[in-house]
Amino acid sequence: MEEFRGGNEVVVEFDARSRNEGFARLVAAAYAAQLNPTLEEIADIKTAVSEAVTNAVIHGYEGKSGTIRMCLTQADSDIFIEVSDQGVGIENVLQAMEPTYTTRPDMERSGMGFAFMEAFTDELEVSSEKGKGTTVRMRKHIMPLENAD
Amino acid sequence: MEERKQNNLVQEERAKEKSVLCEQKGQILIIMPLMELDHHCAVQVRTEADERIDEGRIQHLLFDFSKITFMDSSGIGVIMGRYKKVLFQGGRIACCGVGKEVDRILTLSGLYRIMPSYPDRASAERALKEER
Repeated sequence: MEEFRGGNEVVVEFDARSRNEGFARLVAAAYAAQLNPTLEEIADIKTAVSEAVTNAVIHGYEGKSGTIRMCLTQADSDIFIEVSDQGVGIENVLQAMEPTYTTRPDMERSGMGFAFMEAFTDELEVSSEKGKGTTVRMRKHIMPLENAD
Repeated sequence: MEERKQNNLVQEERAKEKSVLCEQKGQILIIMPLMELDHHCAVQVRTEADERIDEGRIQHLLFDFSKITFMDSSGIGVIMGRYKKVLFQGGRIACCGVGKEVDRILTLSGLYRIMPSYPDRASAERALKEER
């Protein structure tokens, strides 16, 4: 995979609390606005960010306190979103990414988080180390206006 | 007039930071999320809906999405969980007021196979009342 980041960096760090999921979505959507995205592209970004941050809150920190870092960069017509936590980490990333696989059926997790991130972005990379934390990197291409229908 | 009354109620409940409005019509429980249905709001929607379902006399569920423009996989979990609750008593689920954003999620998750969508409440209620 090519260099997974661009320039014009914005970093936000926030507490791993469920009420910040909406905040993170808004920040990412506002950042993406500079590339003139369509409403659908904005919705894609909001959904992908929501899934990544929710995973960090529920699984990374298991509902306990912690800090989530979201780094936004851009290159040409691509937005790069990096969401990382220093939580428990994922032992088997490939298994975690299987659609409908969930470790928390008790919380009614649908197991579709990674599937949604994959579906709504153009590239997804997950790196994790047990006991150290997880980083999710996503690239979303924003169709330049002159090429749009 | 009916709609204005409902809109006022929605405003009031939102002001109280309530993320869902539940309303019983016969044997149908109408569940109307008021805020973006993510993990944060899912907990409240689940708790409130389950309270109403457990009170009894509820057979079918109708999810009214007309007040929200965002839902993620947490919403899928909420719908599936409530579906399982009514399934064993012969209940069905339906939805209405689905906008573009929510539609993407429902389509991708395959939920339409168990939850048919209707343009408005009245037609959804009619479909749920019909014997199958």
